[in-house]
Amino acid sequence: MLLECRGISKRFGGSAALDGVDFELPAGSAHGLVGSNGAGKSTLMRILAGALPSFEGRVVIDGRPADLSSPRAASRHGIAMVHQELSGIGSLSVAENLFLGRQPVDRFGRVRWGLMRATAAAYLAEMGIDIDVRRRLDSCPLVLRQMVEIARGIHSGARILILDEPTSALSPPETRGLFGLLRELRRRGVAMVYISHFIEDVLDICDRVTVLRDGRRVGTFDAGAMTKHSIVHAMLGRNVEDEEAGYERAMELPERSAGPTVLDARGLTREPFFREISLQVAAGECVGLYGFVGAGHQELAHALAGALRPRTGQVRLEDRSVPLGDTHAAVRRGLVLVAADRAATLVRSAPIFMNVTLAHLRSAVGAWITRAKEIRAALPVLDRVGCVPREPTRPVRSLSGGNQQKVVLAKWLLGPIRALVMDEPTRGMDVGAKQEVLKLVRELRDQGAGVLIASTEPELLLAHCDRILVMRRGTIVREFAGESVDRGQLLRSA
Amino acid sequence: MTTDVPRDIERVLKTVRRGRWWGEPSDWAPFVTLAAIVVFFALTTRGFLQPGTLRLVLQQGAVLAIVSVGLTFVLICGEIDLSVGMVALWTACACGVLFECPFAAGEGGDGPVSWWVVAAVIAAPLLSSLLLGLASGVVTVGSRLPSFIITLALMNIADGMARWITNSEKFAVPGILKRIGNDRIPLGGGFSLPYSVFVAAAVLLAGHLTLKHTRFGRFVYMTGGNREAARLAGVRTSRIVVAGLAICGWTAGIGGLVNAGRLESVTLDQNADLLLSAVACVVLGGTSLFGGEGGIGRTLIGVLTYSVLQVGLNALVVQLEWDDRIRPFLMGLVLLGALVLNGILARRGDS
Repeated sequence: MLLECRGISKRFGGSAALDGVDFELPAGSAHGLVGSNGAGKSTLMRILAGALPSFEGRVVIDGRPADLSSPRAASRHGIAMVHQELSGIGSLSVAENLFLGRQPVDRFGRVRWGLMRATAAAYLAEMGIDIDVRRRLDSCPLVLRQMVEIARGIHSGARILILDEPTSALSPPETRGLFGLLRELRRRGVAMVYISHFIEDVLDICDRVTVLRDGRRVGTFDAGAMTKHSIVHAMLGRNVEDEEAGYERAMELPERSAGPTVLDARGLTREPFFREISLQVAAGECVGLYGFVGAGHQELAHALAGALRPRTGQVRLEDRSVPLGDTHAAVRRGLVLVAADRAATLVRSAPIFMNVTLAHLRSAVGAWITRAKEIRAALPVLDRVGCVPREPTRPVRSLSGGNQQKVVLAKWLLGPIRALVMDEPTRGMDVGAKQEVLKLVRELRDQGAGVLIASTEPELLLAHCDRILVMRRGTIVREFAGESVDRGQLLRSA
Repeated sequence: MTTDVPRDIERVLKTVRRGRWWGEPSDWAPFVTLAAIVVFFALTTRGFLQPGTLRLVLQQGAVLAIVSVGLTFVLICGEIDLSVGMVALWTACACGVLFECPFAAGEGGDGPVSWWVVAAVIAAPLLSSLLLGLASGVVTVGSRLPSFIITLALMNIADGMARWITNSEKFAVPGILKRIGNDRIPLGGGFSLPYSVFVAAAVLLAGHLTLKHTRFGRFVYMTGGNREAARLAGVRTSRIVVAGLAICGWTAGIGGLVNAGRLESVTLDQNADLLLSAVACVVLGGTSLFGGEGGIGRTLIGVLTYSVLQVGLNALVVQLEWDDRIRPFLMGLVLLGALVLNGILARRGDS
């Protein structure tokens, strides 16, 4: 046995994040770890990665007790972790990030830049990515940053690779590329722990699956014997009606709704992301914007809501022009954005209620701000989005990803919402939170808001959109409306 | 069901209030530091615990407090203003030069002046300090350069302007400023405080209310906490930064005038160490240099700590009959200790 954990417990304050969890990992195996947000997956992995030195229980590697007192100690045992949150350094190049802390040097200690760049390019080419590795990391789209993160973990020479939600920003072809690579690593004897909310992915890549619930191990199963449904059942302890179960069959998109146009974009161009984009969203309509990572649909979503300024074009909301790249004007008029990157949409050190009231302070709280007034304004919308826990004074950073996204929604619910633009709104969220968020989006749509969802997940769009636009390399190449479409068609057209 | 909701909100509010008054342990770090320093001087320095010492501390802290209020706005925004000392100097010099103009009190500042001339002589320099702050804000936002660099340049500009208009000479200031700086209001029991302390208290209060209870104040915090998130929520973060730096220029101006009044004249050697003392005060209080956290209450604690240190060290050096030139060295040493202690206490509170 390569890795054995016995009775791992960890308490934060009064509550147990992990409660006597056992876990084992033979060499060359892939072990899936699933559970709802807050089930303890991340805590367990952070312990293994040496990020949480004070825990109870025993970890044995190669039959000897392991020292996991620091990330460095963990990496000496050959444990490498690919974080869900991006941890690269934005101001360094892609190549430098790939070799962070272990650049190839010659005997005088000079960095061998040529070798480093060539190797970096080769690593990324293995994953099907072709970019200039001299680019600054922060100039790359989110997906590329995530791929760099994964490549760094894979090539760190680790024997135990922990992957936390590695595919949440990836589109299907990239996921396939990654899985090919992971299988190759397994053949070479690397063991991996794979954490994901995408249960199909877990069942695809892993041979065993451990389900955690509320810090305890519910069970460990052979992946071959499980289905998505049985896993979700074990995770939640109850049967959920799976709204996205039908996506393998063709989905019937409804006839185009006859509502008036809410959001009307014409000739939007912002090189290199998208060019000459025109699209309309009607009141009470949910439009999907599908594309693989880097197709430009995510940047387009940001541009529509004023978060990114297009070079040319026009955006009109209910027949009045909205100034480009001006979030203030957009928010006042009810054109709002829910982005994938919660770190950019929330002030994480600030309490929940301050984040909720931020956009509509005057209308929701008034000119004289007091804490009590703010909490009174914030609590009803927080309840409406189902944000738990109900402690509005907690800092947002203490919430799980799903609840953070609910806070973003609650913020917009305080004011008018005419058009709701979303970019990967459910990234990294568990089944329950995802359903709650999407239910709320449906409610807003039914109340007459125009909704636009940009995503790389066909399932999400097929299950929730009335019309789907497909983008490829910065232009809209196909529209599906009033017809039947399945996942395969969508993938093929992108 | 709907009738339950308001009662439920009140219940949450009650829990929030109950957990409120002692706050986080890290909130207490500056208090602990202040208390430690007071205890230290009380034990080592004869006659430290007296009303006179308190008066001295408050009087010395008044100018510092006024300037620190504006600086607190800027630091919470995640910016910095290095020009406060020189803007204060420029404002005081402009006031002195105007006051000695023929249309005002004339050379020497002894001529008769009407009250509105005095008002203009004070208001015009104050307006100029506001405009200087505004200018550094506009340039910072417009050029997208760090405010560190822009205000460093402004610091030199203000210094140069002060030298140019004064020609390195000494100027008188209006009598009202002298009274603000020195005249005392008796508070009973033989204890009295100078007007400047009340001016400082008013500025502190106004700053506190603005930061905690107005939309602008909230936007200052959020702009500093996460500028991108604030922008995406529709906050015009550029305007917030500009306004913060303008306020900072303005309070620096007020501080400069009060200081000149206290010293009863304007010379170029005033306010030289105001910048670093003010930054030290704000940071001692626990306001983050990286923005998003802090407040006027904390700044007040920082100012008190700094001024207790100053007053206490003075007394200690005299009592021990040490060379007076050792004071800056000791001040630096103790300040370093206080900042480190603060940092450790604050971090312990966080974990």
